[in-house]
Amino acid sequence: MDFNTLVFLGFFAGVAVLTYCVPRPAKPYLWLLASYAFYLYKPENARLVFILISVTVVTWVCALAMDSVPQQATRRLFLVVSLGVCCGFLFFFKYFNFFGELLGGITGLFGGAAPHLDLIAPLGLSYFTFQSLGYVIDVYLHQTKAERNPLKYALFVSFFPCIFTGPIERKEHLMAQFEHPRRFDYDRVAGGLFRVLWGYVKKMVIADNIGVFVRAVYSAPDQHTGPYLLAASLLFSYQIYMDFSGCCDIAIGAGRMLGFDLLENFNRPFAAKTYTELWNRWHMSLTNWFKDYIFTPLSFYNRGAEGFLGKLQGWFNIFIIFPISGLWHGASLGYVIWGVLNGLFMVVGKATAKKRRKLAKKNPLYQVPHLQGFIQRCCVYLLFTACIVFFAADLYGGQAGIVFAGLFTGWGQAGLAQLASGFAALGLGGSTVLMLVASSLVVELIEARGPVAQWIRTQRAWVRWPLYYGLCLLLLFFGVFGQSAYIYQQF
Amino acid sequence: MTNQPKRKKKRSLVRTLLYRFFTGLEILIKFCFFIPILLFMVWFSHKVDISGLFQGELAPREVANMLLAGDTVSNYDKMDERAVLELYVQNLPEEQVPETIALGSSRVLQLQQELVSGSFFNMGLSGASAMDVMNCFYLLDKEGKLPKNLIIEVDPWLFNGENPTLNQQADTELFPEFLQNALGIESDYQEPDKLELWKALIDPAYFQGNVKYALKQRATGETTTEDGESIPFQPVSGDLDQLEYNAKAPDGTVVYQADFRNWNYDQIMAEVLDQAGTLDGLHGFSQMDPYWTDLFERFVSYVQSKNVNVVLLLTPYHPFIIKYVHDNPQGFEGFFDVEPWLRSFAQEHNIPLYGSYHASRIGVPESLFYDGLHCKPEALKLYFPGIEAALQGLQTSYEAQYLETYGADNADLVTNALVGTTADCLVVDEEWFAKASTS
Repeated sequence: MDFNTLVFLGFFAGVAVLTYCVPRPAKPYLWLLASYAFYLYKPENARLVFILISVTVVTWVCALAMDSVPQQATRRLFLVVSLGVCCGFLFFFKYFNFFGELLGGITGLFGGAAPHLDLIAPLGLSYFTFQSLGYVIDVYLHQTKAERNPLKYALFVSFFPCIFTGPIERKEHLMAQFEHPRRFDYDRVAGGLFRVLWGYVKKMVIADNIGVFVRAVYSAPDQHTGPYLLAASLLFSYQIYMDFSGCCDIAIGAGRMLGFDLLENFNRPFAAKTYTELWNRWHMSLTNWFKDYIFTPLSFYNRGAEGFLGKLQGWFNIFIIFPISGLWHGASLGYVIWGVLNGLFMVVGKATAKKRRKLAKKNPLYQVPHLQGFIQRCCVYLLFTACIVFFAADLYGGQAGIVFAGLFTGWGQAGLAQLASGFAALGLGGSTVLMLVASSLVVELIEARGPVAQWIRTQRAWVRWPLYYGLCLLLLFFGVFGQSAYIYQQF
Repeated sequence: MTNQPKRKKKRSLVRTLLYRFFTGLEILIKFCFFIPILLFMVWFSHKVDISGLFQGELAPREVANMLLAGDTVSNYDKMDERAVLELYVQNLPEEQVPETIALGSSRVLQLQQELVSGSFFNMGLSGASAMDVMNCFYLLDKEGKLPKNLIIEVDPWLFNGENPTLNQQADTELFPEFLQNALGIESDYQEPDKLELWKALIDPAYFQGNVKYALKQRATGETTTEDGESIPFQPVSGDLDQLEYNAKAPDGTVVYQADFRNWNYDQIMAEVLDQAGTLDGLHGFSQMDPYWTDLFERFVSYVQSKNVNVVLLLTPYHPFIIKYVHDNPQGFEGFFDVEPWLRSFAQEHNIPLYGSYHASRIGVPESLFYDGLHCKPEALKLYFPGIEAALQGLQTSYEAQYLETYGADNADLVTNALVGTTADCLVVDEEWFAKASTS
């Protein structure tokens, strides 16, 4: 079931009403039922539901066993088993063909053939396996207790607002809310509803309208010149942000209506002045997962190193997260390169931070108020865009090499009017651009004031209601309906 | 003072239920504030209806509305006549339903309002098959817009079951509905899924398409199709005698272009010769098809059961065509059975029947033909006395002239003239016929 369908709206309305009708002890079971119904709605998921069940059962049993066995070796064995099962499914369904092709490339030199299977990964695989893995690692590290109730644990793994696109939740954060469901609170429900509407506007009005243009350019990059390729690349960064954050807004808003506070996934990433800050604001639940379960253990094991070697190890620990993150997104070289580039930018950023700060003090432009921040934000955006080209190329079937080569063509050939008509033909006409600029500004300005669900409840009716109507009309007149799924849903 | 733990306030069940009820009500009321947006969307989508889901396709809709407004509409040849008629009936205000309606093929399309008298609309269709004729009536029936009188122009091919191309243009979805709902004959008709149709009204994508179309139309001032192509139909202004194209008059008849109307004898005969060679609807017509004959009978009975007066009308073929068919009867045997059968059928059911397929039998000279199949309004004047007279069974002007010639005492001669053998009626320019047949 996709968030941007009427079926979902109907389904969610039913679940929301029932949530506040059933007795509190029964609520988790209602949500579990709803979560599986949500998951099984898509026939392809129904065929592969055994994966979700297997991951749930294995991690629940292993975590329970770890909690009840004192011997470290046995505990480690259970950890390895659960890691093996989760990573095994992940590897098999997402990476088998990718690594098979790599292997085939090598064996091909000796006449061997690449192994290939017709596999369709179940939706949300990366999300629920990471969530389960985080849980067993936490139990292993004694950071949380194992959950005794298998059904409540099953709900934690499959909770429907988060299962397809995150945020990747933590047991301590979500389970406590299952245990103590909130009473009905009008402000929470109204705020949640507004956040859902907000998410739809971000996804269907901003992201999808940009997506029309980006798809047209990136699906045939060799047929477009520099101005188009540059615009598409710059816009794709914003498109993917609006797409993913919009989806998270819907998930978090839906959760809020049911009485949950889900983890925030974005905090205005393009307001970041450094690359590190950007990654602290982008896909936060995944970044924190990597930080907690990869970066921190690696730093712990390398804690003895000092001097340049220590720095080098520190940089490596930062760097390695990103290629892994790239692989998490998808099994293709494009995502890996995207990860490597991000890792490099992060490491270079860290390594040169002090020197850049010193240089900045001597930069006359930085003396002008707000200009420094603006330039820094532009630089961060451009660096992010340079990486995201690989991402977009993979997504739309273009080739990043052609995009980069094409960036330098066609400048000065076409007049402004010709370019404008070219952009309009690809879906970026004058009225669309105007609408995109205006709505993006509104989104950025309001989000700068804090979480929208809370912000809207502090506003007077004469601000709230025109905003509700405005957003509904924006959706009605400019929303792109029934055309695209959420980009991050496929990861 | 000692700190005592706060006692949890216990709400009474009634209070809780009341709280929930009123909160639910409050939410419901607030949701109702958004209903105007939904209503606007539904209203707008229904009004513009770019895909013609509710009001029919844009081009036929334009034509139907122009006809209803009393305009003669240009470019008749480019019209989807069946769609136009469907929308005409759909949009026809009940108080404006004409007293008399004519059904049939293009061969009835010269039956003008002044020849019928009273309020009249001609629902003739080019190449109308039996299916078309019955469908047209069913359109009226379904909408509850039945006329008082129905003139059915009966073409011989309505009874030709051997030619599968005849029903190609007809609405093959409407016909099974007619069979099942009107005649009670089991068919493969299935109730359409109206829910799917109405879903379009709350489909924002459909709304957006309508908005874009309406804005473009407003900006350019031009009515176009959904694909942006301009609609070639306009109200005709100026002298109809100088028309450069065929047009549809507000009474449903066709006003042929001036060039066609003014063809000389040779041009007409060249066309007649061509038509005699093809005669599509009559090919393979070895006998009257029992299925279509039976269906026609049932159809007429059904019309009568609706208290609609029926008049049958036979439009003549050009004498050359008749002679050609007479001289080359193989494959056309059924053609000669139709008229006698219709006459006996009409007599049996007390239905007035006017006209004949044989032009000379009803006194229509060659000069009153546009081509081999279509005669001029002046010809109709000869063999159709107008609806009031027809319903009273009065004679046509030709019959009157016949009576005048032979005297009232020799009335049987008139009858003979109408039912005489085909050979008696083959009045053509023998010299020209011989020349044309050998060329």
